[in-house]
Parts: sequence; C-alpha cells; structure tokens
Amino acid sequence: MSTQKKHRMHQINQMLLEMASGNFFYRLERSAKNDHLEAISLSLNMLAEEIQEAMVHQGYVNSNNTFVDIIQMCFVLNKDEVIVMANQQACNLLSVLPSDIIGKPFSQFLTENSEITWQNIWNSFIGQKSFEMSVSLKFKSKASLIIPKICHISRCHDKNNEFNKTFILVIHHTLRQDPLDRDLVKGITHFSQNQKRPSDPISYLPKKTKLRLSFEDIHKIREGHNIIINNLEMNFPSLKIFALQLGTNEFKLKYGFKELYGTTVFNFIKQERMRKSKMMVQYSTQSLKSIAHMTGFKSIAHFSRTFKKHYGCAPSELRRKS
Amino acid sequence: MRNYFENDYASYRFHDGVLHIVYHQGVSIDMEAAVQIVKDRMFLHEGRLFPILCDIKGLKEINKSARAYLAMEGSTLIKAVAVIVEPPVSKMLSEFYIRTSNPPIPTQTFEQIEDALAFLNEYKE
Repeated sequence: MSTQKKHRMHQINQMLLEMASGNFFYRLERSAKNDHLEAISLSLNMLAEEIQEAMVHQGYVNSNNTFVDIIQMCFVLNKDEVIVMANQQACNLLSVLPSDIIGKPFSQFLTENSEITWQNIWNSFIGQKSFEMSVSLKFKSKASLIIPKICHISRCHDKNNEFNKTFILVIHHTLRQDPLDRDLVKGITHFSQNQKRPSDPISYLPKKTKLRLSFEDIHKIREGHNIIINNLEMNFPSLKIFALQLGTNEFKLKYGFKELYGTTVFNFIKQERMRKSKMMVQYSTQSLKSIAHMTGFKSIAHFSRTFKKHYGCAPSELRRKS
Repeated sequence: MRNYFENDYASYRFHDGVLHIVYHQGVSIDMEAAVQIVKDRMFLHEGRLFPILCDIKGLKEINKSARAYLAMEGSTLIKAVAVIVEPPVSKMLSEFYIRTSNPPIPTQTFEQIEDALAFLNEYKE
C-alpha cells in the first residue's frame, strides 16, 4: 500500500475512533481524488453531520434533557496574531500540548483555505482597537482531522490602549449531561426519609411513559411525513383518520411524529405550506390566489393573514420586492 | 428567455425542454451557496416547471444545511431531477442525499446521460 493511501486509511480510522467516542464534530480532509477511500471519507463526513444533528434534535424533543452551549475552544491572541492563551479543551481537541500551542500563530491550527480566510480578516482589522465578528473556520487537529466551527472573534483594549488582545471563542451546541436532576431527587429522598424509606432512590426518578416505536412505526410516520410534503394542497383529515390511513393509531402518530421531527403534525403542515408558498411568491409567476390554493388555503385572505403572521410581511409585499 | 447562465458554483443551460445544471469542478456547497444556486435557477425558470438534469461530477461536498435546503426549498418548480454522477465519490454523494435528505420530487442517479434523459422524458411538457 502506498504511503499516501496508508495515511488516508489512518485518518479514516482516527475519524471512526472519534465517532465511536461520541465526537461527531470532526471531519476528514477531502481531496480531489475519485476513488473508494474518498467516497468513504465523504460518507463519513456526512454521516457525522447527520448524527450530530440527530443528537441535538433528540435533546430538543426530549424534555428530560436540556441542551446547552458550551465554550469548546478559547484562544487569546496578541497583536502579532500569536496565541498567548488557550484553554485545555482546545489543546485536547487539537490533540496538542499547551506548550505546542502557546507562542504559535493562530493560523497554524487552521486548514489551508481557512488560513486564507483568517489572514484576510486579520489583515483587514490590523490597527483597529476593537472589532467583533463571527466567521466559519476549519481547525485542523494534529491527527489531520478537521473541525469546522463558527468562531466569534472580538478585540478589546484597555483605557490606555496598551492591552490589546483578540479573543476567539468557539461555541459548541450539546446536550446537558449532568447528574443534577438525580442529585435533586436524592436530596428529596433524604429529606423524606422519616416518612417512608425508599428501597431504591432511583425508582423515585420522575418516570416519563416513553412509547417504544418499532421500526415499522417509524416507517409509517416517515411515510406520513412524505405524504404531507407531497400533498400540501390537500385538505388534511383529522389526526385519527390520517393515522388510520397510515395503518397506525392517533397516539403513536402524535407522539412519534414529535419524536422524529420535533414538531406536531399540524404545525409541520403549516410550516411546510409556508415554506412552499414563500418560494412560490418570491420566484414563480403564479397568482397569489393559485399559490394559496396550491398550499391548501381556501381563501386568499386566510393565506395572506397566515403568511404575514409567519414572515412579518404580506405575500403581496414580498412579490413586489422580488 | 435566457438560455445560459453561470454563477460561482454551476452553469445552467436549457436544452430540449430540460434545464441542464453542471456544477463546477471542486466546489463545496454551504447554505449561502445553496440559496444562491436555487435563486439563480428560479430566475431562469420564469415561473414555469421543468425537469432538471444535474451534473454533480465536479461537486466536492454539500453540508447538511445546504442539503436540506436543496431538498426542500430547492425542489420548487422542478418536475423531476436526474443526477449525473461518476462513481464512486459523486455517486455516493447523490445516493446519500436522496436517502437522507429525501427530496419530495422524483430524483434518480445516473451514470449515463442517455439514461438520465430517458428518465426525464416522461416529465417533459
């Protein structure tokens, strides 16, 4: 096997290890090659994106979990673009020691393309006392894995303009995984020990009746999702009838749809109708009346009202602007 | 009606009732690019529906939000899409997209342009 191929295989293995450890924010560096290894790299990158999204979505629909934004990486640069401080997590993610990062130019930890973007930004703000902006940059770890992130850059100065530092913050959107809730329940159990001693404190956790969706149920709900998208002009029946059409029951449809798509069936219908009508209003030459009909509205007045409420401007205004 | 258009990401050309979109070599599509691509296409449509032949052989990557936008907003005024690929990379890209982003219009992957045109033939006016 050629050295280059070995290197690519090694990177793929690294990526798989990171994904196995729950780190879905890494990406593989892509090349212009058209071979099987490149196809695997592409799929792994997209798979990681899909999983990352699905996990945040889970957090969104499951009210037992809350999701939080944490500062994943934090860098402080001096006026020469050299890193003077970085948090431990940044070192961990880039797989470098703090001594390898301090004193190095920030651009050294970016991919080639991002380095250019970064240099342009840095040069355009040279000499400015303060500025603030967000930009999408790709970090490169020591193992050559890529971490695409939105970076929030801000430059501050003190009263005498002596202290002039640039801060770079990288925020990560994640599930909150702390045992606070359990501790809280334990606290309550201790408090009420005198009244009744529980055999197992865990059993006192608030239990949410969670419906298990079988593969078949999920399949039916997805089919419902597709029916909605393809029939936005249709007058939708009640949930009960829609569920029967799909071969499931109202409860499973209601619960499962929210679990899979993070919204209720009727909100989803409304959202998709609005999405379609917005595109049609902006770009098609169809009359507003026929767009209203195509997106399931009986009257143009009702359509206009809903549209305005959703987007903050009437469809006729948007049409004029487009 | 304009017959040819080009932006930073692709070229658009009408031929025999089908809109041919060819992505440039090595482009990466993010949300901003996806919006531009759809906007330019809609401008060419002038409100009419068309079958689309989309050559993605040169495409390097499309990120998640761009895939979702192209599948949903991007399907407006399209009758069907035939995606022209070159295995293995762009073929995988197309199949991953069709499978996970689930575009609501008939979308199929082809390696030969003749097969793609035959598929689109039934959607022509």
